[in-house]
Amino acid sequence: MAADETLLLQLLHDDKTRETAFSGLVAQYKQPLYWQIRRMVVRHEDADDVLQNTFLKAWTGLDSFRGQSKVSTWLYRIAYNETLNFLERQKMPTQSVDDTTANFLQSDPYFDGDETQRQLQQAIATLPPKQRQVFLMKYYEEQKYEEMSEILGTSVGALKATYHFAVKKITDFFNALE
Amino acid sequence: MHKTNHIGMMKEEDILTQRAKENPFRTPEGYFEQFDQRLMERLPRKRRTSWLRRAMPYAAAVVLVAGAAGTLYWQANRQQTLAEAEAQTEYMNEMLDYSLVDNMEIAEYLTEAY
Repeated sequence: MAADETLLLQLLHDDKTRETAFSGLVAQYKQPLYWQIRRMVVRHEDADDVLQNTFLKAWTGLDSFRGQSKVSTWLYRIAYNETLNFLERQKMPTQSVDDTTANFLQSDPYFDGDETQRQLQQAIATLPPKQRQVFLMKYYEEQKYEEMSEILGTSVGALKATYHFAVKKITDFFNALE
Repeated sequence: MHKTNHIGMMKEEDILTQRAKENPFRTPEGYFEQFDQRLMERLPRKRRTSWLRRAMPYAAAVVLVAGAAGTLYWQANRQQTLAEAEAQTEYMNEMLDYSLVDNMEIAEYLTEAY
């Protein structure tokens, strides 16, 4: 483990410095984590809930985190799991996901995209959650497969295949619109 | 309008363009600035405990150990007393047998009727 990671872990485990060190983590990671979550759940209010739960889980799990991975990887993994749990609870069997997303984005005050971007969000929403996460991390956040592998707990080969399938589905979605 | 190739099919590079990659989402004004405070207020804190409260488990352990030791000591003592009394009775009986004195004579002696 790198020296700065070791020090950070010590600060997070010491009752006297825990809160200050944690507030530093919140300041550093709230934005990247928010955007990872927001692209998955789409609605700002939902992303806010999931982000808060992510940090609350991290806070209560600090004692059991022993530096098995980087602190940032640990946070991203919690955010990913919280997002999946949220999407699982939100399942709406009566209406297709892309229709729901399309309707929502039409009236969302926090969506500024043009027609192509709205259609792209609609296409992304048709992907199963895990495939969607892989696509978003690679396409929007341009993360390396090795980093993604650590966060998502999936092999690099499987991630490459998943991204390829996701792109194929999105292309098919646009061609079906023509 | 999306570009299409000669057979009218769109390809990956036609869809996943630089423009499409731009972030179309926004957040409410001041969201990130206020987030930290909102979150930090929600964090459950560990309850601060007084020295007396922290010492309670140790005090309880001491009381338990002392209680157990006391019980063992009392039992051992009692057994020893019983054993001594038994040995004494046996000794007395033996002595009475040897001295050929029966219980009646002892009773008379004790009531000074002898």
